Amino acid sequence: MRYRYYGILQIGVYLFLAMTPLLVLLTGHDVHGRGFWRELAVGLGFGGVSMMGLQFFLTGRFQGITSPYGIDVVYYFHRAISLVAFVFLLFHPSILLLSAPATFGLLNPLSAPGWMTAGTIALFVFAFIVGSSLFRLKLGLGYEQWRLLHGFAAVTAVALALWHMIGVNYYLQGYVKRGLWIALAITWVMALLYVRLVKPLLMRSKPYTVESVTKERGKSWTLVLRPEGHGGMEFKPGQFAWLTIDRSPFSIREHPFSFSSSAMHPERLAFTIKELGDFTATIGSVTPGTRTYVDGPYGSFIPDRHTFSGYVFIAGGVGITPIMSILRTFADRHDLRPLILFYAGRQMEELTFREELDRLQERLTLRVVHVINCPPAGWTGEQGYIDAEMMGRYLPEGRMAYEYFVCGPIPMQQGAREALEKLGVPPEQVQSESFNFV
Amino acid sequence: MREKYSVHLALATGCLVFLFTLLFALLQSPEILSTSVQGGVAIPHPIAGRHKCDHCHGRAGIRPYPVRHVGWNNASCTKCHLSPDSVMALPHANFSGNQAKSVPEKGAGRFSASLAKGGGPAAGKKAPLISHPVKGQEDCLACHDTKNEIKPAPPDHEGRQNETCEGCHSRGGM
Repeated sequence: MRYRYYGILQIGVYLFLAMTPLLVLLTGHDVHGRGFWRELAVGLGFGGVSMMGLQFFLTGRFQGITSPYGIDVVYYFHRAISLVAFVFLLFHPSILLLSAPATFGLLNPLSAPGWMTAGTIALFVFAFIVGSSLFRLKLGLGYEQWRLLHGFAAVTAVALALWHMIGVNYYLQGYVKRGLWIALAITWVMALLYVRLVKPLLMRSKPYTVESVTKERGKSWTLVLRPEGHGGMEFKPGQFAWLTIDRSPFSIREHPFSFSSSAMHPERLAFTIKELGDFTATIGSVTPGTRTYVDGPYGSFIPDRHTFSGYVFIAGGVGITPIMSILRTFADRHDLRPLILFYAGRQMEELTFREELDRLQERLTLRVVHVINCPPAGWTGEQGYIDAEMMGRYLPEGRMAYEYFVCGPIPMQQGAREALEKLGVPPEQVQSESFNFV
Repeated sequence: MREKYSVHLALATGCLVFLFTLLFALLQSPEILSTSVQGGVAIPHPIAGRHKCDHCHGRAGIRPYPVRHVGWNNASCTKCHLSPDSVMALPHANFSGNQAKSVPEKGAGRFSASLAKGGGPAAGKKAPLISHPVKGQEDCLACHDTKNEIKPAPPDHEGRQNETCEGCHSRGGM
C-alpha cells in the first residue's frame, strides 16, 4: 500500500515537473492576441520539450523513481511517454504551419534565422531518437552503439530545442524565464551525467573479482563475484544489477542480470546468465580473476515487499534465476511458508538448477512441478504449457492468500497471467518483471 | 501486462499534460473564451480603413475598452466584436435604409438589434461630411442631438456621444 501511494505521488511529481515550466511562462506575460491555434502549437512545443527533458531522469536508474513500480515499468513508461512527447513536438510546427501557411518560408534553412533552423533540426533529431529506439534491431544497431547514439542525440536535441525557444524570444523574454529554462536543461543533462560519470566513479571504488565461472544446465553459466576491499552489496532476493565485465566502469557496455545467490550473503554475489545475445554468447569464456563492476541492486520482483502466507513461482527457462535467489534466501532464513514452483522448459535436461531444486525441497516447504514441452519417453509428469487447469491441480484452497511470481519469456508471462486471472487471483498479487529495456 | 500498464500510464499522463496545454492556450487567447461565453458588443461603425482600434479604444482613447482587454492586439478585436461590414457579408442580410429588417442566420440577431439601435451607415452609403469647422464646436450634441431643433441627427443616433461622431463623419476639409 505504501508503494502504491508513493507511486501516485511520483506521477503527481512528474505532472508537476512537466507542467510547471509551462505555467512559469504565463507569469507576468500579459500580451495576448496571437490566436488560440498559435498558442496551442506553442504550448505543445514547450510541453513536448518539458516531457522529453524529464526522460533523462526516468533512465537515470534512481532508486527512488524505480522502487514503487520496478525498473521495467519505468523503462516502458520512458518509451511510451517519449512517443507522446514526440507527438506533441510534431503537432507544434504542424499546427503553426496550418494556421499560418506564410510560416512555411521559415522552414527554408537558407533564409530562416538560426534559431528556426535549430528547431527544425531538433525535431529531426527527436525523430531519430524515437525511430532508432523502436527499430534498433531492424536498423542493425548494436545495443552499445545505439546507447551511445541515444545519449548524444538526446543532449543535442535538447540543446537545439533550447536555442529555438530562446531565439523565438516571445515567452522566454527576460533573464528569469530564460534562466529557468536553461537551468532546467542543465538539470536534465546532469541526470545523464550522473549515470555516465558519477555512478561509474562510485562503482570504481567498489570493484569485484570473478571467483568462479560454472557451467549450468540449459546453456547457462553462473558467475560468482567477490568484493575487492569492501563488504559487497546488500540486495533483496529477486533483484538484478548491471554488470560491466572486464571493462572500465565508464564503458557503456553493461548488461542487466538477476542475482541467483542468496540475499543473506552480500559478500558473495552470483549471477546466472544464459547464452542468448551477442554479449552473453561469450559469457562462458570469462576467466576467474576478471575485474567486474556492479551497478545495483534494482527491481521490484521481490517477496519482501508484502507479507503473504505462501508463494507460487512460475518460471520459464532462465527465468528461474531470480526465483532461485528467492528460494536460496528463504532456505537461509529457515522460512517454512508453503511454496510451489511451476518450472517450464523444453526438455528435462535443459532445466537449470534441477538438482539443487530437488535438494531445496528437503530444506523448504517447497513443491516443484516440472512442465516439459518435449518430454522423454515414459514421462509421467506435466507436459505442454502451464495453464489454469494444470495450476488448479496443485494450488491449495487458500491460494488467494498467496503471492505469485512469474518470470520467463514474454508469451509465457502473458499465458501465466491469463491463467491466474481465470483462477481468480487478483492482478496486484501477481508480480513479474521483464528485461526488454530497449 | 506490465508494458500495457506503462503504456496506459503514459497515455493518461500525456492526456493530462495536453489538457494543461489546452488551458495554457485558452488563457493566452482569451478572445476564444469571450466569444463562447458572451460575445462582444457589435461595433457601431464601419471599420473599413480603420484597423487601429486602439487609436480610439485604447486605454487613453476617447472610448477605452475594458481593462481586461489590455495587451490584446488590433487583429483580435473583430474575433468577438463584429462590425456592420461583417454583418453585411452574411448571406441573406436584408437591410432597408439604416436598419436591418431580418438577419436570419445564426448569431446575427445581436447585430441587427445593435444596428436598429444605432449602427453605422447602411451599405453603399457614406456618412455626410461635417460641413463646418469643428474647432471650438466640439460639442456636436449641442446642435445635433436627436431631439435638438437646430439640426438633429437621425433618430437612430440617439444615445451616441460626441466622441463617436467622427468615427463616421469626416471633416469636410475644414
